[in-house]
Amino acid sequence: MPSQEAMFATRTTTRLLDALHEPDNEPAWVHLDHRYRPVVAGLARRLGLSNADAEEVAQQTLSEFVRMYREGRYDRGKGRLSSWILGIAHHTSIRILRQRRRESGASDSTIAETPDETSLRTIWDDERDRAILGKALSIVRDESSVDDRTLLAFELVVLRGVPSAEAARQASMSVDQVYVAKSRVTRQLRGLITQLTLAFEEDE
Amino acid sequence: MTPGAAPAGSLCLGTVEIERLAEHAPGRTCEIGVDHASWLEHLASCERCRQRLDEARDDARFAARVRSLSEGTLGPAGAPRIAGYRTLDVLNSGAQGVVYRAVQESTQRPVAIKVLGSGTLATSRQRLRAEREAEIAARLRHPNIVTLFESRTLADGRVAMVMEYVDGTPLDAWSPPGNSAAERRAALLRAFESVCNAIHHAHLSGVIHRDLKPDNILVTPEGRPVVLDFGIAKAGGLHTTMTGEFAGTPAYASPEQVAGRPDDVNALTDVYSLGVILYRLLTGRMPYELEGSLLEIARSIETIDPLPPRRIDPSIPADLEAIVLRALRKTKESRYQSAAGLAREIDRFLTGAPVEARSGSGWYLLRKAVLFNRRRLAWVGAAVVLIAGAGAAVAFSLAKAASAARLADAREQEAASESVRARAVTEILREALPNADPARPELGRVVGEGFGRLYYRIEMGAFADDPALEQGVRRLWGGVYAGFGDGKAASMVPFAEASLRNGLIRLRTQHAGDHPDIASNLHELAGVLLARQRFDEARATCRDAIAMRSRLDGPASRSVAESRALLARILEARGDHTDADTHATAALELFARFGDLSGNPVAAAMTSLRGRYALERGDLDQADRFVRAALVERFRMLPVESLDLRSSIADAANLARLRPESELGRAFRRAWPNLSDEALRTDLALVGSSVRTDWTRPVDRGRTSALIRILRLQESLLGPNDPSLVGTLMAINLSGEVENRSDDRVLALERAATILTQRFGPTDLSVLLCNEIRGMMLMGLGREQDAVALGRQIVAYWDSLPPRAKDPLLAAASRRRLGLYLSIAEQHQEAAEQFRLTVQELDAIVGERHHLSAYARSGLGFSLFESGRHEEGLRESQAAMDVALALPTTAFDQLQHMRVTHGHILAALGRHAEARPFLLDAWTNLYDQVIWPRFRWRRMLLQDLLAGAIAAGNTDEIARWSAALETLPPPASPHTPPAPTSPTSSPTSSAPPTAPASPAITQPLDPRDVAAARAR
Repeated sequence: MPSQEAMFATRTTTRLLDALHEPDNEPAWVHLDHRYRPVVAGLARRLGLSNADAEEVAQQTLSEFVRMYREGRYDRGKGRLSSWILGIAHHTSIRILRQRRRESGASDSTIAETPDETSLRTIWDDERDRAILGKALSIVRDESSVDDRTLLAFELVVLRGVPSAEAARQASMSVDQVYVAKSRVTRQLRGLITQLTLAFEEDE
Repeated sequence: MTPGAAPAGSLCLGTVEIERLAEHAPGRTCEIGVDHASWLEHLASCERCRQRLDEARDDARFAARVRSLSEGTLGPAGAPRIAGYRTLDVLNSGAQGVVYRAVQESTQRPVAIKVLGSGTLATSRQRLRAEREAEIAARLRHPNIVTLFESRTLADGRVAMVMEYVDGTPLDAWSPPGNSAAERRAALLRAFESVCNAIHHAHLSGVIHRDLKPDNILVTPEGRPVVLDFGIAKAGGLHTTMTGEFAGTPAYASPEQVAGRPDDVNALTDVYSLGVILYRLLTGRMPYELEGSLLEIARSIETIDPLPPRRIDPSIPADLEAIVLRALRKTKESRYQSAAGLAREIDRFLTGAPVEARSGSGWYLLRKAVLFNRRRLAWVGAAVVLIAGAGAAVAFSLAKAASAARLADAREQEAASESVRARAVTEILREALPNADPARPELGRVVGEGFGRLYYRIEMGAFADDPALEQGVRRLWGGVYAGFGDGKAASMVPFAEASLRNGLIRLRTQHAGDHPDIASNLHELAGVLLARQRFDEARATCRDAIAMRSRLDGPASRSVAESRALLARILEARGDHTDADTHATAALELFARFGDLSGNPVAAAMTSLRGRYALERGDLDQADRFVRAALVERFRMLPVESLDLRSSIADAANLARLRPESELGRAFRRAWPNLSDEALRTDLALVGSSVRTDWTRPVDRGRTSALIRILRLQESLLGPNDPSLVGTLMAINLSGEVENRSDDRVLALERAATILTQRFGPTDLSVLLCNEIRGMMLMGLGREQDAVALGRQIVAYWDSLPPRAKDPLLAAASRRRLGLYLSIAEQHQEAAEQFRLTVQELDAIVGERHHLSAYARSGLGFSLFESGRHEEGLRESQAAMDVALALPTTAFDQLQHMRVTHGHILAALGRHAEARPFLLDAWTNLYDQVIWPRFRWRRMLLQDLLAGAIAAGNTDEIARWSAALETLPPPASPHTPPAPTSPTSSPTSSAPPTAPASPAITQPLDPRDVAAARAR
């Protein structure tokens, strides 16, 4: 029985966006936030911000987004939702980067060049995939009925690329069992990732 | 048989076979071997199995993609690539992770980078936990704790921490200086004492080290011990296996750690580890045998008593042995209750005083003393947050203590829940209070943002591994927001509700039926619903809470009392007056039974409610009793801006109008001679608004006067020397700054100092801090001699204390401020002396390469230069500047200040080209952001810039700086001060001020009223 969280995670963006218009629908906002916050924070980190600052960027970006959406300023004709959020995240990151440089006494000229449009998009997609992967992994870890050793075998072989024989030794199982573990968890994971990705992309 | 299926007699391949086949590239299946020929045969004819094989191969590509997402940033050598740093080589590699030596590219400063984790893409929860630990560790600033500059999360989920590079020897390998064994032992003990104090500092911030051992304590060549790896042991997550067993080095572990009781691990665990370290330093051996299996070692730690050190080395004094043995006691409660306690014992031993360890008593007194201190400091309150510079750390902890005193003391239960609550409060305050940034004093906005961040952290599972703490934080939502006033609350309430509801869902899955945590959540939720004006829901929820608490604790319990009080407020809001009064009465009775009537904001609210109802009923005597009692309590507990206090004042005013000859009536008339609804309401509204700190906008006139009238009222009700007046006097100071009422400010702070001195003695910390604020205020008003006199007094006080009895950083900061005052007053020679002493003191405490030393040194340089010693002055200033620029920890405003003075020196020497970057940077940073419009040396800065422009022949700039100079007010003539006032003089002895100040602040009251107040 999937948890409430898992269910929300696969609700499409559109329905959540609609729910945002209801003034009291905080849970909807929370779950939209869960979805995009790690991606924005990841993007900010890739642009060179520290952890704390990346969290700040995520916070400001999402607040701005919700405010604009409620004011009716988002129009699907103008482009993909993710591009919009990406744009806000980008300029927020730059602003905070500049501020930090000023505070530490360095002059503006030392700001590193920022990536171009295409690279930004790639970074965003990467971070999105990473967030989805992380989410899927945590669902598998925390909510499925997979036992610890199976999970360990999977992690060793798939995530760390350890050879099956070695993984079998570390996880105290036979090599055959390692293969089964790998196949089983991979299947589950891929299913989750497909679902989660669909939810992200439906609105794009 | 379906087409494409295998021929009869051969079964489809199992998962294992498919996986094995997939491991080999297509076309190379011949490598599998002759045993598996049957598989290949089957494959050739089975469509379904071929499909499965394709899928499995596709899985392999998927796995590769996953790995690349995890490992994207690994360089060829395996070293992490972190923006801004260049990794050099590996320093150290251990179970937790690898430590690299690196260089910060922008400053070429050496750093150490520790990378934790093994590369697994951790769950977002684990990663957040690691990041949280790293962020907490980064906030620890102490000369004996390795400075953590920042932490980053690498793409693969590992956490990289960038730290100060410490070049030192592990503590157990260090040779202390000294000519005899006794001298060397003393030096070693002093070093150990600093370590204990550092650990204690961390504990105060809620961080437990958990992995203290000599390897983690390095001693620099100058003899300064530095503790490494704070919070890292837990952040790395590698000390626990998948099933959570403790798997680290057991040698220094405490009994509760090895017994696998993680819930019992707290600050005392660190104290135990310190004991083991001490044992080893003294005897060269470990307290227990470390042979055998993990299980046997664990059993030793848990059950066997350590060999007394004197059996190993008879030259160890008995007192010292007693100290070590006490630190190693098996039960937490019998050890030292804090690392600072252990440090003090060491100090007592070294100075020859009797040690507690041998007296067998003590920790009750210690606890009481700490509690007592916190309550007193509450009066200095939020105003203290504005102290800039070195005092910032103190200010923060004071404000923390003040709020903690208000919140935590109000509902004290057993020690266990106290520590959780204290930690929860720390967590909330750490998010909510800015790190004493003097440029952002708008608490309200920052509080709102901070709570938002905290909310998201909770929901993202940042506290998931510490359910007690998570529950503690959730439970405090309701109470905390109420303490910050209604304006800020509005933005936080949706967070609070969502958070509490989520908490309930989680708790209900863990506990079937009744549980105190569920009841608490319901209680807090009811409070939040009340704030959102959903009265019916609030009532129902509150009733549920009451019912559950009655079942758990009994109907006459404290918890039920609290919930009934809340119900009373809900019913009042709904208009169910009689019922509200019934519950309020019952709650008050219960509070009285538990001795919890005073200092309890909930009880005050109930009293206030009863007062209102008595008034409605027309029972004026009762009303008077209740309303006055509530008002007095609230004056004692709350800041003057708080909504609760102001509504009590309004209630009391109503009563005063009905009974003008009663005490209340007279008190109000004294404060508001023509008491009208309008006037009072305006005053209360003014007081409730936050102090405007945007210098460019017009201010609300009248707030200061309103506060003065309230002060009058407060005096009448509580007496002229009640410490709660200090809070209002501080508010008058803040308000007076915005409205330019300097004389009122001077008198207000003087009186505050007097009251604090009378109540707590001239050497109390609150008096000192009050005087520091006074000094800065006087300086800001141009009353330089007064500020200098006060500064001298403060420094004289510090100097009169024996070295071990004072807080060295605070003392040094006070001296530096005196230097600054003298410098502004142009008494440069004396300023230089004071700065020189400060530099010496700071060098001894934090070392030369520290931003605090640098700041003092820059003051020294400037004063030397201005008193004619040009070369020396330039040298010191240059040295200071180099250090300050190299360190990321230098405070923003201090750095600008240093730029101004250093630039001035260079400009005065005619080296305009060199001076220019400093001066320009300072100008841009200070004035573009309008932070310091009254910055002392504005004129000097502009003159230097102008001189530089003239020397360069740059006509544009000449015009620009000249124009700016013209907009400045003419240099003030030195203010002729009244005779310097000492804080112990009575309020009426100060000389008459030049502009009329409000008599209300200092005019003596009618003796009859004073007597009446005392009699109460």
